Formats: sequence, structure tokens, C-alpha cells
Amino acid sequence: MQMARRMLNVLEGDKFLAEVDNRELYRRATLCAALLHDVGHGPFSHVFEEVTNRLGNKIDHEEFTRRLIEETEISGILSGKTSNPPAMASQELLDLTLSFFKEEPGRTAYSAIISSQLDADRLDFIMRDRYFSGVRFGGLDLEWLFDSLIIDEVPFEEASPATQFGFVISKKGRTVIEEFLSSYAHMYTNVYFHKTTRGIEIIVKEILFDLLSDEKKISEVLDDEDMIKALTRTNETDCETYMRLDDSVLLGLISKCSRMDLGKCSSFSDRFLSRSVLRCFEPPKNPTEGTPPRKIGKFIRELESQGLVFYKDVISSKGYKHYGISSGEFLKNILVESQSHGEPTPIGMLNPSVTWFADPPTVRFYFENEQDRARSNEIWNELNAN
Amino acid sequence: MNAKSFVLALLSASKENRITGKKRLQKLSMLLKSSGVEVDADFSLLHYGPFSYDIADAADELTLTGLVEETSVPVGVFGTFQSEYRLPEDSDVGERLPEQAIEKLKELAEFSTIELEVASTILYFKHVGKTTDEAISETIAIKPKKAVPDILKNALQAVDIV
Repeated sequence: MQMARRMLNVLEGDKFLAEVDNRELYRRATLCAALLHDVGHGPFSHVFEEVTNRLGNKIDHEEFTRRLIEETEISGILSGKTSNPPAMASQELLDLTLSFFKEEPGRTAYSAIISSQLDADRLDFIMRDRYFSGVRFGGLDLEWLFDSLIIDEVPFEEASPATQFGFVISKKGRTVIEEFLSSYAHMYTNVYFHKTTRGIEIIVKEILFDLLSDEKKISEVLDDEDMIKALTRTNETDCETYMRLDDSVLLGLISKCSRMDLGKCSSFSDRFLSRSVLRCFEPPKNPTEGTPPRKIGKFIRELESQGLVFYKDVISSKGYKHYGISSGEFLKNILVESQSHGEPTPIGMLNPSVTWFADPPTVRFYFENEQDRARSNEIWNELNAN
Repeated sequence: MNAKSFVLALLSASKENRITGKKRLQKLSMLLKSSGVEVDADFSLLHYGPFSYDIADAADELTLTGLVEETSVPVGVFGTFQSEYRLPEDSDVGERLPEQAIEKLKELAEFSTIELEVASTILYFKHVGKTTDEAISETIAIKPKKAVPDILKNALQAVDIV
């Protein structure tokens, strides 16, 4: 929210924002949307979503964000229909805040602050996570970046009558946006997609999948029927119960599983609590060509034929923010004022080296013990000996 | 057919065995499923319209193992980058799309990705029980900048095709 406020302060003079009727309402709604944008996340956010999707219990945290705003006390607070309403509350504020989550981004200039390649959330988490993870690389000159932001109306596709509002970087801001892209890519490669982090995510996913796919097991661990339903049939759950479903619930399940004899969820719970990480094998990449995909296919078939138990981690998460980084288009398509012609140009056309920034490994393989990991290394070398 | 077989079959039936854009792959998949192709893939309404994790995962798996090639290509005069999916020359596609679906795919190839996106969103709302008028209204409500009259007109033609 603080980042959104800073962006609003900087952009207040922009011609598109200045043309909007009732700017104060839009400003308040933007701040409310910034505050509430992730309120619908489940426990362990995208990890839980991946497990539930795998189980066929597909949930969407954005849908829950809308529901929580509409169906809980949040609605009363924003609309003013509560016993002690805030001064600025109104039905229009509620409706406008909800519109950020009901409509596709791009209808108004304000929506770029909530959802775009350079939205407040992205800028905030890069700065915050960099600070708290203690990394030294990737400093970002926010003032320069803000000073370089322009709001423009650009076509969705070439020659399309449909346009959207989004951020374009001014010519003078090209260096700072390259700095941002470098910082962003390095955070993903070295922090969010770090092999230990992903390995622990796999452990948690396997615990949850084993537990939630077996009615008998989950009933042995949990005697709260509402909570069991929230975990296994999340889409049918009411908002009040969903709000009780937080990280502490899953941590409690893991703690309890580790003290029971329920098979994989128990053994992996032990691993989680004792930080006994899975062993990682990362296929080596040719610096210019990457890892040839057909080698991966052969490798997988050989692992399977030798009966090795492995967990494949494909670096292409489908969560909205994550999907962007693993897709080359995200980095390359940030628009910059062009030196040579009037139309904004993707940064990837102006600076091909940004394509190198997003270079996470395509896939990793995790094993439950060092012996299997070492054997996988031998198999890889055998397959690629010639 | 499963999602991986479907993606292979879709590419095999596409012009030059390629599809440009993750979004285009998703929307063509949705439209062909709506036309009656039996594919084991669920669609839900996400940020940019109907989306299938099954199709996305299938495309990722096929790319990972080299059965599909994915490259990032600049598209159009201003060079916006998109993913291009292509079947390798020596690929061995098992199941094929039904002949009727292949014919529809040829017709859908003439539409822009945004038109397919609007069309698939309208169809999504119809599948969940809305009338055509309601589906159009809902689509305009969530895509006010894309479901403009010119695009809507063409999108409805795409809906009629399937």
C-alpha cells in the first residue's frame, strides 16, 4: 500500500490520471485495492494452490479475494454500511475497489499501479525481499524509476482497436529499467528459485498431497470437519472458514503428522521439521544453448527405468506473478519510449541482453537420498558421454 | 485425448505446425474443446479469460522433453515478444484431431488473438449457463477494453464457427 501511495503521488500530474473524474475516489480505491490484493491467498499461498489443483480441487486466490471483499466485514467497512464507518467509505468506493479484481487490468490508468509489469506489488516485494534475504546485488533507484514512469494507452496487439492503459518508461529511464530487470531476474534465480527453497516446497507439497488425497489420513490428523472441507473442497468453503485456513493450520498438521505413522506425509513431515532437504541434481546447461530438451526426456525415461524415485521441478510456475518471470515475454515486453519512432518499444528490442537476465534452470531433479542423486549424475554422464 | 496428445495434435493441424503466443494456444484449445473435441483439460476463468493449467502444464512438459520447440520471437512492427510453439520436423504425433475440428481450426486461424480471447470468454460464460446476451454482457464487464464493438463482432463470428 505504501508503494502504491508513492506511485500515486508521483503520477498525480500525469495527463491520463488528471483527466479522470473524481480522482480522490479513484485514489482511495487504488489504495484499498493495493491493501487487499492478496487477502484471498490460502496458507503457503501458491504451494497450497498447486496441491489443490493437482487434487482436482482447483482454487483461485483471486476469486477468493473478490469473495472476501464482497462477503465479509470488508464490504461493510468500504461501503460505510457498518456501525462506525470510516469517513471516506461509500458504495462507490466498494464498487470501484472491487472493479480492480473483477475487470481485466488496463481499463483505467490507476489499474497499472495494481496490476502491470511494474505494479506496486512487484516493486515492493523485490525491495522488501532483497532487504530481508540479505542479498547485496540488485539495488534499485526507486526515485529514478518513478521519475521515468509514464502512463500511456497502447494497443493490445498491433493494429488492434483495443487499447489498454499501462506504464511506459521514458527514454531517460532506460538504464533504471534495465537495473530493475536485472534485480528482478537475479532475485528469482538466486532467491525465489534457489534449489534449497524449491526443495523444501516440494517436501511441503508432497506432505499435503499425501495427506489431503486420503480421507482416512486427514481424518486421523484433524477432527474439525469444517477445516477438513476447507482443505479438501476449498471451493465449497464459506469465507469465514477459509479465513481460518492460514499457515498455522498447515504447520500444525505437519507437526502432528510427524508424530504419527501415516507413511509419506509423516516421513516428509519429519524431513521438514528437521530440515533434512532433498538432494538436488541440476542438468548442466550449455552456456549458449541451454540444456537440449531431448536429453531431458531421455534422462527422465532412464531414471524411471532404473526405478529411481525422483521429484521433477519444472521452473514454470503458473501463479500470475511467477508465470511472468519464467516467460521471456515479461522481461522483454516492458515498453520504453523509442528514440527513433513515436511508438513505445519493448526493452528486449532495444537491449537484447535483457533476454540473458532471465536464465533460471529449466528443470531440477530432487532425490530422497544422496545415493540416488549421485546415481542420477552418473546416468546423465552416461547418456551424454558422446 | 489427454492434454499432451491434444497439444501435439493441435500443433500438427496448425499452419506450418506452429502457434504463436501462449494465449493463442490457450484460446484455440478452449474453442476446439467447445466445438466437441474431447480433451482431458479443465478451463477456469483467470486473469486473461479462460485458462487451463492442464494445457499449460502439457505445453511445458512437451517443451521440456523436446517434443515441442518453444522459442521467444518478436512479433509485429514493434517487436512485442511472444512464445512460439512448433513441432520438430521429425515429430511423431500419435492421435490427430477429428477432421471437422481441423476445418474449424483453419477458419479460426483468420482471427486475431484478442478476438479468440473474447470469443472463448463468451463461450465460457455460456458453458456455465448464461444466455448468449448474458455471456456477452459478462464478457464486456470483465474485458471493457477488449470487448469493443469491432472486436466483439468478429469474436461472435468465431463463436459461430465452433
